[in-house]
Amino acid sequence: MLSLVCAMLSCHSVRAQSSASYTLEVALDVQQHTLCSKGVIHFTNQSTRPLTELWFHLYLNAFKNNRSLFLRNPFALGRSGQTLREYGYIEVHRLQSANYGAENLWLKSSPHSPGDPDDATDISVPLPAPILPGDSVDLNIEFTSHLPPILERTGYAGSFHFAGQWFPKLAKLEPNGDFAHFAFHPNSEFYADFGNYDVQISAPSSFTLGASGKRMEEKTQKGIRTTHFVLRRAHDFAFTAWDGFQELSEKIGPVSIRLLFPPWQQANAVRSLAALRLALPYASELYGPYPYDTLTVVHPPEAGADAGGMEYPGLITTGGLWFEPYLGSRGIEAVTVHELLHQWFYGLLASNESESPFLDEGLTSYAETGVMQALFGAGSAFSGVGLDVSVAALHRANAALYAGDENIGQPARQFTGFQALGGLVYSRTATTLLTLERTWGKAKLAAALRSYTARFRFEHPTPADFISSIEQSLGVNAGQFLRTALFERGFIDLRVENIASRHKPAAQGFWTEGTAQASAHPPANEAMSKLWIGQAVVIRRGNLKLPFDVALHLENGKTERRHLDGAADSFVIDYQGASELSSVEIDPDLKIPLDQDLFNNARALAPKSPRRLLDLLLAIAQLIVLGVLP
Amino acid sequence: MTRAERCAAAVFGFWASSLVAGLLLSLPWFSEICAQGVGRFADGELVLMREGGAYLLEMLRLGSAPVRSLVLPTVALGLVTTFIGLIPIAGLIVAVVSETGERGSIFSRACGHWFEFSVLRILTLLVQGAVILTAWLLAQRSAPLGWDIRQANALSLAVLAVAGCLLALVGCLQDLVRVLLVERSGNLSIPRLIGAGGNVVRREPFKLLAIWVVLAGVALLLTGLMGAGTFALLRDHTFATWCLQQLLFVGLILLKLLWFSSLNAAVARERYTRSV
Repeated sequence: MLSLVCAMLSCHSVRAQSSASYTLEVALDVQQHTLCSKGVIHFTNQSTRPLTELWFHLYLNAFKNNRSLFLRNPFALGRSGQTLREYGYIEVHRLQSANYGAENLWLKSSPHSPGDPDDATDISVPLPAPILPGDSVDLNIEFTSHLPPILERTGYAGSFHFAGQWFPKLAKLEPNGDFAHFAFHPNSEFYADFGNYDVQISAPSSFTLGASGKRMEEKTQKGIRTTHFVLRRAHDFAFTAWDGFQELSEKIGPVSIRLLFPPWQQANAVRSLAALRLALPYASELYGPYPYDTLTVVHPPEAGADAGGMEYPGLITTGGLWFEPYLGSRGIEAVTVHELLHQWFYGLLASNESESPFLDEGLTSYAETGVMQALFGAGSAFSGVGLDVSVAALHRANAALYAGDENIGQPARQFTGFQALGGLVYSRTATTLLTLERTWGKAKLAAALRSYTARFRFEHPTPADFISSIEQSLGVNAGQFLRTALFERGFIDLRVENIASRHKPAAQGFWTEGTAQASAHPPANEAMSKLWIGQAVVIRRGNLKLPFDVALHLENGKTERRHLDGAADSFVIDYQGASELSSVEIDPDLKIPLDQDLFNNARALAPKSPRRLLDLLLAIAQLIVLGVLP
Repeated sequence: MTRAERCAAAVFGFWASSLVAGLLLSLPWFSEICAQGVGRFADGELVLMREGGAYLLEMLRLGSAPVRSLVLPTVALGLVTTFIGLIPIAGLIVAVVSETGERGSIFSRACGHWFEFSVLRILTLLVQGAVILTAWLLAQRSAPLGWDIRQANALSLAVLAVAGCLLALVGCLQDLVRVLLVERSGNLSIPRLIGAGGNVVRREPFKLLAIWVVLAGVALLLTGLMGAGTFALLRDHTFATWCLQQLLFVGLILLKLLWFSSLNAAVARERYTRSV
C-alpha cells in the first residue's frame, strides 16, 4: 500500500514538473550581443479545461522601449536605479507545431500586453485548435534575443554577458485552466511551471560558460565551443559567458560547486565558497535536500554589477567590491547565503513572485538571518572596530522605516516603489518571522518551516498555504499574528509610560475589620516601613498582540522579571521588595524586534549619564581637529 | 627655557587646545544622543552594543533628523576651531625652530603667524578641494563600453592613487611653507618663499618622501588604533582607558612634532648649503 502511495506521489510529481519543458540550441554572438536560438517547447495541459490560447512572458521586452511598463517611470524606481543606454528585446521568428500543420502561430500573437500598447512582455498566442486536458503539444520555436547593456540582471558589459529571462517563457498554467500571466513590472519577479531544460550553448572557445544545470558534454569546432547543459525539475534557465572568468570548483556533499569570478575577486570567491561550505548542508538540513547536482556561483565584474545578487535554479549571482571584506563587511557572505537560500523558497517552492513576493524574498531574508547568525554570530553583517552588527539588526532597522505604510502581503506591482518593497517584503517579513521565532520558540518555527518546505516542494504554495502550515505547528494565535502582520499593516509599539518608587507607608487611616470599624492614627516613628513599593505603567500601541517580559531593575543591582500576556492596551505592574525600583525595561531580550521604537522601552527614575559615549565622541572630534599627518 | 621645555609646552598646548575643541564639537552630539534615551537603560550606553547593534541602528534611525540638523553647525564650529587651532600648530613649529627663547614667547610668536597660516590653510583647502572634486568627477564617469574591465579598474585605481598623492603633496608643501614662514629671518617675499621651498624640495626629495611615508604610516596606525580602540573600550570604559586614549593622541602630536623637526632640518641644510 505504501509503495502504491509512493508511486502515485511520484507520478504526480513527475507530471507536475514536466508541464513546460524546453530543448534549445543557442548561439551567442559576443560582438552583436545577441542570442540566436531555436528549439522545442514541450507543453502539457495539466489543467481541467481545454486551452484555446497560450500566454508567453517575453521579459526581455521590458527593455524594448522607454515606455514599457518596466521603464516608463522617469524616476527610475526599479531595483538598480540605473537608466538604460541601449534597448534589448526578443524577436520571435517562428512558432509552429506539427499538431497545427506548417502555420506560424506567432503571426497571430497579440502585438502587446493586454491593454498596454507600449509594453510587449505579456503576449498571447491563439491556437487553431484547443489543447485538451492531459494532451501535449511540441512547439518549434526560433527567436533572437538582443541583450541590452546590463540594467536589471540581464545583458552585457564589455565582453561579459549574462543571459537571464532571455527566452519566451510560457506563463504558469493554473489548475483551473487560467494562465498566471502578467506584464513585467519593475517591482516584480517571476512565476513559471516546472519542467526540464536541455540547452546547448555555442560561444567563442575563449569564453568561459556557466549555466543553470549540469554540464554534459562539450565540443569545439572552428573556434566555437558548444556546451550542453541539462537541468531537471526547474522553472527557469540562465547562463553567463565571459573571457575574463577565473574558476574555482569544489564538491560540497553531493553538490558540485563551480565559482566563476573576475581575477581580482579571488578573495571574495574564497569567502563565498567558505560560506557555501557551511550554509549548504545547514540549509539542506533545515529546508530539505538541495535538488540539483550542481550549483554555479557567478560573481560579475564591477561593470556588470547589476547582474549580481540574483537567483536562478542551480545558478546564483553574488556581488560586492573587492575590498569589502577588508573593511569588516560580511556583504559577500550575506549575498551568497541569501541567493543560495532562494534555491528553496524561489526554486523549489516556486510561489507566484508577482502576486506574493514575500513568500520568496521575505522567507529567504528570514532564513538568511538565521544562517548568517549561525555562521558568524552577532557580527553577521559587520564586525570591526569593536562593533558587531547583525543581519537581523539591519533588517529590523529597515523594517521600522516602512512600518504600517503598506501591506507586506500585497502584489509586487502595488508597492509604491522598490525601497518600500525592500523594507516591507524583505526586511519586515524577516523581522516578523524573527518575532515569531523569539516569541513561540526557534525550534517550533524551524519545525513549522521544515514541514512547509517539505509539503509544498514543487507545489507553488500560496500565502494561505504558508499561514496554515504555521498555524498547524504553532497554533491559532501564531496564525492570527501572521495574518495581521502580513495583511493588516501589523504594527506594535510598547512603551514605558511611567515609573514610580517609594518606601511602603505603614498602615494608617480608617477601614472595616469584621463588623466593627477600626481606626488608627499614624504612629509617630513608624510612618515608613523598610519595604519599598513601585509601579510601572506600560502602553501597547498597534494591532499586534504579543506576550512580553518586563525587567524591573532594583537599586541593589538585582532584577525581577514579569511576564505579561500582551493582550491589553495598557498594563500596570506593581512591585514590592527590599530595594528601591530604579528602572524598568520592556522586552529586555528583544523578543519582539517588530517593536517600533526601542528607546521608549525603558525608563529610569534617575537616568544615567553616558560618560563613555562622551569620551568616544571626544576622541573622534580630537582626531578631526588634529587632521591627518602631515 | 630649553628647546625640550619649549617642545613640551607646545605639545601640551596642542593637546589642551584639541581637548577643548573636541569637547566643543562633541557636546551637541552628546546631548542629542542622550535626549534619545540611552541613559534610561539599566546598562546605559552599553545598550548600543546589544543584539547585534539593533539599538545602535535604532539610535541612528530615530536620530537621523536631529543629527542632520547638527551637521551644519558642526561644520561651522569645525571651521572656527580649525582656524583657532592654527596657533598651537604654529606653536609646535616655533618650539622646533627657535634656538633661543624666552618664557611665554612660543605662543605669542605663534599668534603672530595666525593670519599667514590662515591664508595658507584657505589656499591649501581650495587646492585640496579641487583635487578631490576632480578625482570624484573622474571616478563618476563610466568606462567606455569597449574598454576591458581591468582597464577601467586600473583607471579608477590610478585616479585614486594620483588624487591621494596630490593631497599628501599639497599637505607637505603647506607644512614646508609654514616652517619657512616661522623660520624666516628678515624679509621673505612670496617669490623668495616659493624659491626657498623649491630648493628644499629639489635638494631633499627622497629623504622628505621617506620621512613622510614613515611618519604618515605610523600616524595612520595610531589613528586606527584610537578609532578601533575607542569603540572596543566602550564596552569596558574606565578612567584608565580614557587616559590611554589621550596618551595615544599625544603620541600623534609628537609625530607631528617629529615631522616639523624633519622639515626644519631640511630647511636648515638648504640655508647652510646656500651660505657656503
